[in-house]
Amino acid sequence: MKKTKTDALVIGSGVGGLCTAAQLVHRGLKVIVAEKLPYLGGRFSSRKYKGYAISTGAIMVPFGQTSALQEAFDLVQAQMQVREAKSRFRFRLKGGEFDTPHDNFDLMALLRFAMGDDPKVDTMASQIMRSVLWSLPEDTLSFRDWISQYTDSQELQNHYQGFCGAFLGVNSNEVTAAEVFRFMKTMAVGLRFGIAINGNIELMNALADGIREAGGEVRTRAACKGITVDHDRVTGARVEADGIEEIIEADYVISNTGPSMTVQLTGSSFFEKSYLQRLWEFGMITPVIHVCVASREPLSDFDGIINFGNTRRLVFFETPTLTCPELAPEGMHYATTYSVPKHAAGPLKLQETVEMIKLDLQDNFPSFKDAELLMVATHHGEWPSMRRWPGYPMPVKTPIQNLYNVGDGCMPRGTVGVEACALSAREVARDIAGA
Amino acid sequence: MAVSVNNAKCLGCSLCVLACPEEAVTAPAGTAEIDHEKCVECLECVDNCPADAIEEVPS
Repeated sequence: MKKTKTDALVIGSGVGGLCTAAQLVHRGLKVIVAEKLPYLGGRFSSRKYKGYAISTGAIMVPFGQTSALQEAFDLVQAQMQVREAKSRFRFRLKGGEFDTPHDNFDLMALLRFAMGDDPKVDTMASQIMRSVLWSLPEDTLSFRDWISQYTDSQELQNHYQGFCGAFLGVNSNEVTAAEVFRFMKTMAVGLRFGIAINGNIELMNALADGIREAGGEVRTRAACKGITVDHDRVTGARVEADGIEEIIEADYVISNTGPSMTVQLTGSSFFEKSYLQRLWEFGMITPVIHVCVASREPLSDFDGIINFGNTRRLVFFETPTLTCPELAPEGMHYATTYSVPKHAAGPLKLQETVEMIKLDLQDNFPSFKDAELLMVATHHGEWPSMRRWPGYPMPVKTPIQNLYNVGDGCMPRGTVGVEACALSAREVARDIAGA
Repeated sequence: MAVSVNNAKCLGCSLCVLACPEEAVTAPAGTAEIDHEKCVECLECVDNCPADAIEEVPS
């Protein structure tokens, strides 16, 4: 059998995998990335369909000085071709719409808008500020319950329900108040987001090219068939390409396949009980239904994210073609929407949920009836929006020496999505560099 | 040969829908469906499936 030696083997080319590879080649390690699919990016990718470049996962890409994703690109001199929308958020509530620009988030004004003449507005504002800036609540209380201590405003609950669904991927009763405040502190303020000008896959291809130019190897159609262990230390993996299996011996193996798959590829007998317990006990993924809608006239002329408080399931609406017309055939637009099932832990009732999303789109965008439904993608099971609920991450280190996980199974608390994956990669690279 | 969706494995992620050059695949709610009239058996959907849910079967 063919044998290859490397310093680090990365399994999977998602954001976590490629960012780890970029971080490690920059530090002088010999790196091989093995991706099972013919395309890079994992869930953070895009495909051309009917002339549209459609994201297969997230649409908003973190970038700029404070972003760990940007850092990975910079380390291998890869260009991050993203463009920032002029607007940031629009919250659509019963009373109308509330816009927050990039540089000025007015919490008091938002609460007044949601709560109307509720005398508890001041208390609510000071409790939120206290939690973000002074001391977090315990991780035992859901955000919905935390809010209900201070106000019975249904409209404020509706706003934060839509907010949690859109930005944390779960309902407001499924995330702790502490995790929401960590998120507000670390991600909602200060981090910039753009849209990939030619689709996410071009970003991931650019990052892979940077890794290759720095001496790394990135393979597609290379499926990991098993992670090998000797005396509680990882030794490499078996990788199959074109029906031929190869042993890749590595000092470090970094799995971007998700913590559960890592166990499966290695064999659960190598993992101690308390690790497996943590893996299964809070092992819920976040599901999302991703619907893309094409039209000649955009359904909305707002170029930022529209977030909803009074819908059945729809929580997120964004028209990327208003910022990046390159993503659609000339003169056309498409909108990306995300919806969250009633219970993130299931059952998902997909058909019923998709019908509700269509009704939500119809209620909110009158011209939806003339638009074309480009894609309905459901993300759950082994292909979820995120592999763990926010606030319940697995550690990047496994009980097996030199075997790490990266990606959204290991999101640092207070972070989600693409940026969280890049942060987990940075944590791994720093750990390896410090060893 | 023809291609067939294994409903037990399919997650409905729609990567096959986007990958099909003939627009022969749809996934209206949770599971992919292949229009065999349009399918040219290029196997792009098989290649793109992250769940190994699309299989080649004798036609």
